[in-house]
Amino acid sequence: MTNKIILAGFGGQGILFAGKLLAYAAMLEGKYLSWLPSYGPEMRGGTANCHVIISDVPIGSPIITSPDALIAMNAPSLDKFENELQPNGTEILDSSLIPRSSGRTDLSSVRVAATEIAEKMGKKGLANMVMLGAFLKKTGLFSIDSFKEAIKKLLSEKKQQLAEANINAVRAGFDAV
Amino acid sequence: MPEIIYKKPHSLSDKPFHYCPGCSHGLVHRLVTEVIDELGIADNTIAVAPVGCAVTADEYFRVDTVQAAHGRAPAVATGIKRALPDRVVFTYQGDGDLAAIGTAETVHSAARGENITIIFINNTIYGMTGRWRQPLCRVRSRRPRPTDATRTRRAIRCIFAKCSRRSTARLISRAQPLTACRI
Amino acid sequence: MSEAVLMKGNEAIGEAAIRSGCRHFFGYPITPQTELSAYMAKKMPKIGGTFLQAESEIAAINMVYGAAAAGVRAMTSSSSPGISLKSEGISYIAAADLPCVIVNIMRAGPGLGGIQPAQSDYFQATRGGGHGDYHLLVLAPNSVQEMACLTAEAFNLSEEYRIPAMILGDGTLGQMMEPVDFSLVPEPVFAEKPWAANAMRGRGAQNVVKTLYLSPEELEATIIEREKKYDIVRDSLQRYEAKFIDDADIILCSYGITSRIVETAVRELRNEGIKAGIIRPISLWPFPEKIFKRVRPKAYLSVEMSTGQMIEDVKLACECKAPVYFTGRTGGIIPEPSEIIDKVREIHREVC
Repeated sequence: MTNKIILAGFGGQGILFAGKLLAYAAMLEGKYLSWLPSYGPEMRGGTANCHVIISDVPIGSPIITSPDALIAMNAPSLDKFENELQPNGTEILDSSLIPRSSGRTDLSSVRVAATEIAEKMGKKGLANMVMLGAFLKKTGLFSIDSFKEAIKKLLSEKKQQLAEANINAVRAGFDAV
Repeated sequence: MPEIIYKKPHSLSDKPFHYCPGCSHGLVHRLVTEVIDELGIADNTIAVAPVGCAVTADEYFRVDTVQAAHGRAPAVATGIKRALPDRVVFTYQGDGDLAAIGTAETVHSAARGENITIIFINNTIYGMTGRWRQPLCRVRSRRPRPTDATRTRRAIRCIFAKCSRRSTARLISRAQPLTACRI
Repeated sequence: MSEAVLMKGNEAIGEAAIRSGCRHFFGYPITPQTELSAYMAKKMPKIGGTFLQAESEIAAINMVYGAAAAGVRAMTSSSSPGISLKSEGISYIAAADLPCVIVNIMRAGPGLGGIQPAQSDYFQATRGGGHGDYHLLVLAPNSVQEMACLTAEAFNLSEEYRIPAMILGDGTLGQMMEPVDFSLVPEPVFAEKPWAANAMRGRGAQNVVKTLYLSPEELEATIIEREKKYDIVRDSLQRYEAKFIDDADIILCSYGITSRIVETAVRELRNEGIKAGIIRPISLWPFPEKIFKRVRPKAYLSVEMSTGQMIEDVKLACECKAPVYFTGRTGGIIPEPSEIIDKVREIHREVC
């Protein structure tokens, strides 16, 4: 079983961190994984992204050409990746910022108002966690518990007090879809 | 019994100098090794000899020596001093080396405050390659505006002045043009 | 994976270097290796080491030369244009038979090029970017784990054989994160350095680290001595990984990140019934010629992110006993498995 996930949004939305979290959760469960960020001009153009591969077998190329899941947090990211998704793939879109879906009938499409939900929780910056919660619900890839563990391990010591807020945001996303 | 009142420094080898007659290298070699002997640091010193007539200074200085590429002696000396902070590290550089190709290394080792000593032999020429002029060369000119050489000297002096306020690098300039350059 | 941590390739190199006893890093920022310098900047002061941001890549390599001459483990890193700048310094280090580790996280060239990954410095690394008769030990990792393990090996081998070592990575390997298990990274093995210019301190005799020999006879003699050492290295340090070669009709040769894509392609080709195999050189100098003498494919395919540089070594190694094809992308573009699969199918139609 191999999951190829692309997370994309504009620089500052915590796309890379969200990807790292998925990677960390995979590592804690003893799976093979790779995480590859975009760097350079893409960071400026509003399509900062990372490629996360989680697998039961050793991973070949860390570069994803046809993802089976896309977590998109802004419209340019949907524009860029919507046609690369494999048939029967999943798109998870932040409906607060992306007015449309891909319109493809061969995908399952999940819309979650992640930025709005995060704002209501008092921290707009947790929208990426809300998206992950929705992703977990849709794919069942990890349990919330193993995710909690990953959040605690990934956050530095100085930022441990943010762990609970992050976990709550994940839960909010999980419950919203 | 005659009293010995002067002798060749122990840290200076017996090898006859290959330098041109009248060249200041011989004199400065003697001065440097005399100081090394007086301070008793021969056993704790590492010399850096970059490209120039004195690249073979290891044959004259009886201390551990590292040859360096043209202009890079302060960088090499930085590497040595950072590796072995309790040794005395010095470079022995000509003017083409220090003030042309090596300007950046000279300025930045001073700006960082590296604890090294730079012995700077400014005879205003590239001796080894046939006495070509170099940026600090004094050039006689009837034109009232500053020449390139003067501008270069001013720029370098200005940078050294700024750096030396913060640094412990010592520059000993032997500005003795033995060959006057004429247009 | 008992002690696995998630790290970027660039950081894994830094951590492995520190665990190998390297306490002197002289660097300069350049994309895409800046994380390695940043990692060293953060860690070195905590362990009493030196991190120095030099005024240029040229100064940095000369600082490595000085520190190595003084007898310590020293390291620098850069990316393609910066390595060009270091060429003279690298030639000096090789000529003085000094150990050190130089990391090149390749990006697209020539000139300023781009910041995306490429493999167009193969010639520079293996044929000598600098002047003169010399070689570097060149190791090419293809995973974050290997970035760590090969760095540790590079320090040990470089000291043992008194030859500068280069880790040839690329932007993808440098930036990507994978789990690294540091318990698998080799322990440091420190060599005695009676030749080091570290001040006489009662030794009695002067140590000189030099590369100038004005007498041609003397210079030739030192070069020949060095060649004998290189012969030993050529014989004993060839490293490679080979998969599916026993019955392979077409053997694909690639290194670094490209080899990961090639492996994905080859697994799919095998599912299709095409007998493709892989030889992945891990040491680029010395090139692993020996394995090429043991295989008998109908064709070779060199896959590189360049216009074809390693292909020359493949041809030499197999003595062109079978046709050697090339496919690849350059300019910072990473080939996709489908491009490689299409090329192999085309070759298969021609030779099988």
